[in-house]
Amino acid sequence: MTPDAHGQQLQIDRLLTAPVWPQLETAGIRTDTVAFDENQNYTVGLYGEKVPEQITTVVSPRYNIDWNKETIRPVVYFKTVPLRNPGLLTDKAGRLVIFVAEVGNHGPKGKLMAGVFSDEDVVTLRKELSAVWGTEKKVREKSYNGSVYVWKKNGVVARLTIENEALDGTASETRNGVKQSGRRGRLTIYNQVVPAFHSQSEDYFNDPDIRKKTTTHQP
Amino acid sequence: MRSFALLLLFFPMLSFAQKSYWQVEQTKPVIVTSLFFDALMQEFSSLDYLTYDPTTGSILYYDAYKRGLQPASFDSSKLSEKKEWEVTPKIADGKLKVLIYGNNNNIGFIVCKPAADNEPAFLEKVKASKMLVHHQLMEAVKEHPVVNLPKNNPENTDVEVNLGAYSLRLPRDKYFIVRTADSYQFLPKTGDRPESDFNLFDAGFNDNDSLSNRGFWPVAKEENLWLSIHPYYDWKTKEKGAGGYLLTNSVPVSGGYVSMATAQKESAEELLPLVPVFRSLKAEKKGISRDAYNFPGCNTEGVKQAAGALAITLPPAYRIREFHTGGSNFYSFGVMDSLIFSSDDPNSQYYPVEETDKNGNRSLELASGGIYALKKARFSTDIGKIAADFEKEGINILEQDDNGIFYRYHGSYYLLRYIRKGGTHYVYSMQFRTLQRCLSEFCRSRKIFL
Repeated sequence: MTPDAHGQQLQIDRLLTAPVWPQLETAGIRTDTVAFDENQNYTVGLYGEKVPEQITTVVSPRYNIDWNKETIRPVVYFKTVPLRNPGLLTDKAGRLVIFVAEVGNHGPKGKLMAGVFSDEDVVTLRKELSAVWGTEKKVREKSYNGSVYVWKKNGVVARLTIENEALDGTASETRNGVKQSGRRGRLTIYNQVVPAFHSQSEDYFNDPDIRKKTTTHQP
Repeated sequence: MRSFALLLLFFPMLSFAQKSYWQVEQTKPVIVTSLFFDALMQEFSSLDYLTYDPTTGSILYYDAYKRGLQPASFDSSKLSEKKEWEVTPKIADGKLKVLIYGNNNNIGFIVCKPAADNEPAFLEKVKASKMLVHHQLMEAVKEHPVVNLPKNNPENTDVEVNLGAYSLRLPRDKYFIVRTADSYQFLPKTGDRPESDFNLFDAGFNDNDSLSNRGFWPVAKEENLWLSIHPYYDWKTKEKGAGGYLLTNSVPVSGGYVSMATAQKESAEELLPLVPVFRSLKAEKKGISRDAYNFPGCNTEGVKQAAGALAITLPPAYRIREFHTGGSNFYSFGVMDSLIFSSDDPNSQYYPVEETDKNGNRSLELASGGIYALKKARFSTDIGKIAADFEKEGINILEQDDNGIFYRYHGSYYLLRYIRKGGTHYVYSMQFRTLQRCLSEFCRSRKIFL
């Protein structure tokens, strides 16, 4: 991954340990900021999850613009992996409580989405996460042709959901008539809060039995 | 030294800070998830031109498909109802690049190349582009296969109908003619489509004169009777053709014109059967009345029945049931705020009325409804007030007589008749699946109250 020539890039580990606003400001990153609405969890990809009460705000950093190549440059990275549509769910003090982002290529297989996001991103990210927070635990299998992995360390819980993991062309989703066969995923990081689902039977974070069984999820 | 400083001050203004003229070169979607954003990205073509004024930041957009030289302003409010869509122009690499940033999932560029150095030369190019589109559209009209307007059927069984200052020959008992404020609508009596096949307007002007403003051009003409097409030209595929058909006619009457038109249809074949009807439009008062055409052979007879103290006539296939309030059995029917029939009200009564087939069975295709009674001595109303109330609620009354109305509501047709006897208000209300059945019972029930 080429380093950002303008230095306008943020690393997750820094965002987790220090208030986000000074970092965004120093890096000169534009943001869209809205009040968090628990009834619209799905807009930040937290389906059916209990969201801690201290979360008040969703900060969405905008991409940088490459005016010469007429494309975008990602602004939030996990190590070498660029993250798509990142969202910072913060408390009143601007502390990052939950981080959400999309990863990889949500488009036709083999193509770079926006010239940046590739089929390999999710796989690389899984390795990077394991390098930082230890071996992953697979808590779900074959959910939407992929798996759900969880890491827990030092009060941080990270989850990576991968869709179309095998990259075997079984993805059925199309957009504007084009098959979205790329490999993609969703990264969620809980910072010093205990993640939980409203439905206990789905709560793989806190039920050791669910993690042991790793049964096929039937939607 | 002083002049050098001045040069530094003014040079940038002179060379950059002025209006510049651009032609769209290509659109570059970066990330697109919204269909609306996708459509927006596809809207721009190399036929389109822009101007950019860096001092105000304003962009003007010359759409090749819009008539006239007037540009449209180009900002987020014009692009979308969503005000957060951000438009950022920037001149880079000798090109004007317009970034449209909807959100993190909808981002794209419109890349433009220089078009001209000055306004007159630019406008010439804009004109040429608009002429090119216009020329292609006219070619589509010219290349359209010949359409022959059908002749009138010699064994014509049509009926001449008098519609005020003019007349029209219509197929016998085919349409129900509704009078609105400034038009007549012709609703087919049979068939599921409740839309009007065509309308006749007290226009006061020749409707055909304004067709080109609406993008329609005639491909077959017989005086003022025109079959027109809406030509299209796809800049991407270079395809052209007819995107829709319209049949119109106008005739002069005293003080102006009366005009008739169909809705836009996808093929000429759908419109050709209507040609004899359109051809028959005459500025003469003759023929039978609208009421006689709408309700031919109307028979007001029926079988004597009783709903409580009310004596009425009903069609032989209709029967009145008893209704026992209690448990999960309840009813509520609000005609107007002060005329509400409800099982909660001891002064209210309901007698269900059902149509049955010859085996005595009910079905959804058959009429159903009831007779409602309410004792309320200190209240008075009439069918006119009820009709006005319905109209206020947005219900389109299709016909009204001295004690009843009928209307369309959520795909069904309803009739409602009202009478007051002593201190009791009675409403006869029925629901029908087709216009034909509603019309026949509406006419029959004109003398329902004995």
